Amino acid sequence: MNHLTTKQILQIVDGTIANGEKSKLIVHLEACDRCRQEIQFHRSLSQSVRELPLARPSKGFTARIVGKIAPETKKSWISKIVDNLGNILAMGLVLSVVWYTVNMTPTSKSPVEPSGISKALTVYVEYYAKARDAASKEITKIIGEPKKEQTPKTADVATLTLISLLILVAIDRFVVRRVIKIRL
Amino acid sequence: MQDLAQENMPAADEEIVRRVLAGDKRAFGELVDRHKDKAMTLAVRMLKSREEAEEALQDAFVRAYHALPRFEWKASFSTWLYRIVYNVCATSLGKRSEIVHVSLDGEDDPKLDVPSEEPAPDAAYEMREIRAAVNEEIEKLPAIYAWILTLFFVSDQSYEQIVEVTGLPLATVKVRLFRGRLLLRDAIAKRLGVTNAATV
Repeated sequence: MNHLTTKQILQIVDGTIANGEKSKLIVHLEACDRCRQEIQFHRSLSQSVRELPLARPSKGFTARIVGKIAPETKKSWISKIVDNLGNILAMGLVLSVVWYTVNMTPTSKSPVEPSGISKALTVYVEYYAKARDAASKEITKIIGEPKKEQTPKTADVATLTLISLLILVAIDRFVVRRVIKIRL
Repeated sequence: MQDLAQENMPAADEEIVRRVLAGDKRAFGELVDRHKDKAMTLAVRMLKSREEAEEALQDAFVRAYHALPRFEWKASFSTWLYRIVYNVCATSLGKRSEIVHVSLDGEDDPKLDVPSEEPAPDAAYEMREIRAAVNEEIEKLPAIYAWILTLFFVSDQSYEQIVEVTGLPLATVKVRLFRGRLLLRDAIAKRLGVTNAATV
């Protein structure tokens, strides 16, 4: 028995077989299990390919395309402040802690039991005060008395603030922005 | 009742294109959302790499946006878009020295004019098994076949639309499509035949 060719099978599956040929093939199919099986197999394959899960682009794809063709307009200074509110609050918090640390004097007795944070800050202030006094003496030996208008406290605050700002900028640049980039 | 049904129908591509051309750039995002998944599937089938496919797809959509004023509605928007995706992917493949849109004169396959050598699995097989096998085997097909199978079955493009997308002659499109289906068929039959033999 001559079985149907692959081309004929596929044309039957697609419904594109010429009318003249159709009747001959139907006669063959009625008698041939193998060709009927072949047609059914191809139909199953076609259906499976149709139902394959689609590949989806990553999250934010559409937004990126729109961003490329319609870039954001310039933001007003109010929008910039709102966008950076988190950073501004973080800087304010750091400055408050620095100011509190530098200006807080250690107390030996307290009527109320101090909290864990107060205890930690007290210890930090004591060690910091000792280290500062020792450093001041050394610096004074090397460079002389500090200028009257710049007190050691002001210099300390300035130095600590500068260091804190640098740390914040570094965290923002090297950690936060990278995490955001990875997520996008 | 009919008016309500029409109101709830999503806007046709034509309407969105009109809005984009009228200046509503953000409306282009609706077109992207509508077509990105099938276009991404096409790109992945061709380039075999998600990262490259996404990059190519971004490039294709941006090009499509800039070419919109020249779009004449001779073909459907999807066919036109797939053509751009195809060209971008083909360029990318060309850089890897893989050529897809070369038409060979008289391209034909003698295997298509004979019955399949490997018989179809005769044991009862479940669609679930076939789907799992197809999902894996289609990734292994050469790009020129995987792409054309995806265009035909997933993106529902007719032979004539595939001709528009690829620029290949109709005879070449048919031969490649048949050849791709035969390759897939043989790979799946072998897999299911091995599986069935193992369980007997």
